[in-house]
Amino acid sequence: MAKEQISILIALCLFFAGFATGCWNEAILEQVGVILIASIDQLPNGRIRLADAAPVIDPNAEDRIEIVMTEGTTIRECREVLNRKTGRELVGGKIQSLVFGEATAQQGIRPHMEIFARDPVNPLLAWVVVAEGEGSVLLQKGVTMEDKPAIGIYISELLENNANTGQTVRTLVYQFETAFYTPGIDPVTPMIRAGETEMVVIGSALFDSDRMCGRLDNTQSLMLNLLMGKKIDGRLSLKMPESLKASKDYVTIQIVQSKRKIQKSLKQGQPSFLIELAMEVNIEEAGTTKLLEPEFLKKMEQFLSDSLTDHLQKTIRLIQEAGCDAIGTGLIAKASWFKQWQQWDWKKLYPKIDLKASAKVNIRNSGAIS
Amino acid sequence: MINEKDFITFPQLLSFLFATQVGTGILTLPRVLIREVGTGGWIAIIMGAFIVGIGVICITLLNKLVGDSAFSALPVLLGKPLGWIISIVLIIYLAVLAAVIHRLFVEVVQIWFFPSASNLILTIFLLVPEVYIVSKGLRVVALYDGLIFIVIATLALVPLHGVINGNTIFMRPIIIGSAGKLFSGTLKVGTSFLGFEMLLFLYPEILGKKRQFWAGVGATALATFFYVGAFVASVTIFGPAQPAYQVYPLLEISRTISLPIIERVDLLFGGLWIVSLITTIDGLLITLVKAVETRFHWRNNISLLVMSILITIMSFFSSSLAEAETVAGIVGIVGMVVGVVFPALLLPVALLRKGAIRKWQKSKSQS
Repeated sequence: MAKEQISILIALCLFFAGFATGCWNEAILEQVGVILIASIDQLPNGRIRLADAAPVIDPNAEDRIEIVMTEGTTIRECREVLNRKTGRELVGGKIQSLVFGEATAQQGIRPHMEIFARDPVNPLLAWVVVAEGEGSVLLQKGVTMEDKPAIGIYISELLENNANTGQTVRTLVYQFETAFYTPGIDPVTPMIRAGETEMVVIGSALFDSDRMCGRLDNTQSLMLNLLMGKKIDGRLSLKMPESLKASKDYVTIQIVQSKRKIQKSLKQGQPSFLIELAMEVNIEEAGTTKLLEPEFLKKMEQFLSDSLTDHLQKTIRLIQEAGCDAIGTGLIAKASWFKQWQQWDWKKLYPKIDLKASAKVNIRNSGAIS
Repeated sequence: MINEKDFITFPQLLSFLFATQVGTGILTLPRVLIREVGTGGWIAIIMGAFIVGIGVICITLLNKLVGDSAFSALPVLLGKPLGWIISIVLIIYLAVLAAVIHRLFVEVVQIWFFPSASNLILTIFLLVPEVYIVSKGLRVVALYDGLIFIVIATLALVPLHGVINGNTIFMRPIIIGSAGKLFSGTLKVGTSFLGFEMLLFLYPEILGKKRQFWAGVGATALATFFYVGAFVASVTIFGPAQPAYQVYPLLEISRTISLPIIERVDLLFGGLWIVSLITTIDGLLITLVKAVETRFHWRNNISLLVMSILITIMSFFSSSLAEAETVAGIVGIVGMVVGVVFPALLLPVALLRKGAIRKWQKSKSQS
């Protein structure tokens, strides 16, 4: 390459480098508020209340977290008002959790989530959470919990741990959106309560489309996770019958593996489903020393199978009564019987369909003692 | 006389055609297909690939019959006036296609990365490396395409994530609206395959001419694989309805991935994709330069400069994404006519005018 050409190339590079200084959509870390958690509450007057919590990047600041709140007609409008209040530009690219108040969730949350799908800056991997009471109150309480990590991190870690153990469901923004848009499946989200000194994941919120229509406690959430075929590392304590009791009334099991099989059929033109779960469990506490006796083990397995089947059935009844097709039976029905599906009003039919579950438990081990 | 820097081998032709085909189309394809066809959109992709295959067969046969690029032989095949008119139409087509892709690129960058960036600056940013690469000749373009091929192969991990982690039940049942919808979907898919018709313009530059057919088929097969993967991943991740509302479903998939070190995979994916996008316009630009050189005997650098300015100006004709996509749809249909219908019509003409072709070849070799 001639020297002249190289010089022109270098000159061109330098010239265009002038345009590449990050002038567009520039965000200097010290001058922005990185929101880690946001809450949205629908107010009775039709307006919404947005609260954002962002860490304070200033070693001299008294507070670790700054929480700002405002009311407006849209999320974007609220964010603009907050920017004027804080003097920093609040950015949503790092939001880890999106909290909705319970009353808001009951009215429908999808309109408030539009901005998350529309603006690519916002993460689709943020948790969607329903707070018992108001979302903004949860954030305010969280900020005062000084012995806990920063509110945004604290809640996302809490949700992660609880979802891993099946105590609640894992629902991120894009998963909520997918369930909302797809006929034959409804969303479920984690539910959280703010105590005075700590946050507690209290189970899951059931949705009919985008409106909260019921709730499940932690055990029922565990059952729902199993019914949905999720891989979880869950633990469950069950009250033992007299025939199995020893020094303790309860047995605690760890669900090591669960395989789901769905039997489906049409009975008199109506869909019918049987969810069969084959589970491998470890006994963690039982208060007995008979766990190496084959006959006792068989009885224990039978008890666990019956007991889990009972729990699963109760959970199914709850979600059916709420009208939340969290398992996605509608999807299976649509895939299997599309002609009939087109005739069905699935929302009306779902609570009446024959949906059953059965568990078959195999005890894998019981620790270092029999 | 062809410049030595313009000769390309079979693998280089393969990567050149593939890189020209895969551009902005794949980003929007799942949306277009879900809207038009439904969950059976992947069938439209495969049908589109078959139609493109027919185009590749016709073009390669045509090139073989005329012993040069079909574009060079147009005045011989159709007579001077018509041959010239068609040549100019084809040149305009290439310029408009390049301008549309430029515009779509600017839209992706603005929506995804820099909402306040100026259209002009983004266009210039894209144009500078393109012009530089194209000025170095076809081989350099093909070599760059080969390098980007590796990048695109890495990017395939994103749709792969969708296929593996998504819910396959969303794909069932395979819904196709109607035969008309499937046909219209197939036509729209054709837009994403555009690039294969560059074979109409390139022939003397290809080393190992017998394998040009396999290069065309191979590139189309690879593009089909990517398109089907992107479509399936979009549906399995976002369900059968949501992709219809997403402007760039493939980029949306990248927003659902989080890695231990790279938290925002979408930004990395988008950034790499933009680099690979240059290959599409490069392919069009060098073909355009070659076409102008063939017909008007302009020096490459002059035609490159003129065409770059023309493309930049034309890319501003559409003022919004909706307008740009409408133009892209029309250009896509024109492209399918150029790549499939036109060579199929020219083929019997070439058979009938064997004598004239022989005479033309003789006069070329004498000069």
